Amino acid sequence: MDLDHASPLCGAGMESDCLLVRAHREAFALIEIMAGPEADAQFHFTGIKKYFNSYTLTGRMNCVLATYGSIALIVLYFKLRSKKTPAVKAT
Amino acid sequence: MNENLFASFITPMMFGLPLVTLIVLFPSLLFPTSNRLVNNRLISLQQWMLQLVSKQMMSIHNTKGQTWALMLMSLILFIGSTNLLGLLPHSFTPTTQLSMNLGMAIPLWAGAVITGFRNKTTASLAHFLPQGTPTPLIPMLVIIETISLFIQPVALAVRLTANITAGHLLIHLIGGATLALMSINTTTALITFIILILLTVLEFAVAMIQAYVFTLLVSLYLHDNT
Repeated sequence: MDLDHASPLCGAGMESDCLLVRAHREAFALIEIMAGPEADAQFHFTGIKKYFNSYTLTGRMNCVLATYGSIALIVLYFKLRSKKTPAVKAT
Repeated sequence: MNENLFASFITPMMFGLPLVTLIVLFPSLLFPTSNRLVNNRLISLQQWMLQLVSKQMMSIHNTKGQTWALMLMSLILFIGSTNLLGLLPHSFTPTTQLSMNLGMAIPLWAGAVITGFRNKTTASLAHFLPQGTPTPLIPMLVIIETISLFIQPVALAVRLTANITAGHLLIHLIGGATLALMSINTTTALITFIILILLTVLEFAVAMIQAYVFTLLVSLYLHDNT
């Protein structure tokens, strides 16, 4: 798509300076950076950051799964703890 | 007065039988079909309009997303025609009922999300964490994004219900005020009547825009998941 001539709002001879065209160009550039596995190759992490980071698809997925797993563990811990605690005895 | 204000939103019954099924099915009678290659003017106009809307809406989708074209076009036609028919005096508008709008929003949203999880599991899960999030904020943002995902169908339904209901209520109120003012002050009644005309024009626009917004959002949810 030829973004320089895309917008009908740009006047003749002013396509390169048109704010709307520039915004479109930046939005598409951002989408390209954020897009899929081919963009993950540009990041070179080592250690635990290779699996848990907020840049690559796999890293983000692992962070999300780790968060859900932590919440599930906390809920499970409190449920089991309330079962183990004996009822208060009357004196 | 209070009772009359919400009377138009009660589902109509006739001899104890609900008429709502007939009312929901009625708009389909207004869109004729034809098995001819060259049609008459009405059907040609209808086909041209459908092609315009479907081209604009489905252009962002890949092959998988475009399998939903029929569903989305039916949706926009149904909501648009129902909303516009509801602007007729003393008619019942099914899209003022939250139950109906939830019944449309939840299955469509769930279909899009489940399609995304089935076909692109990694990308769908990664969607819950915006790229570049600082590490300390990760758990909070995952929770926020999960909540915002589940809010989507509710927002979709409530948006349509609230917009159409509010418009109908306003027309009812301003129409009642115009009638009441006629015997008191004719000039004020005339001004109120002009406001009523402008509001009715606005409601025509809102009826079509809300249909478009509902369908567009479903289309965007689908685009994110295909």
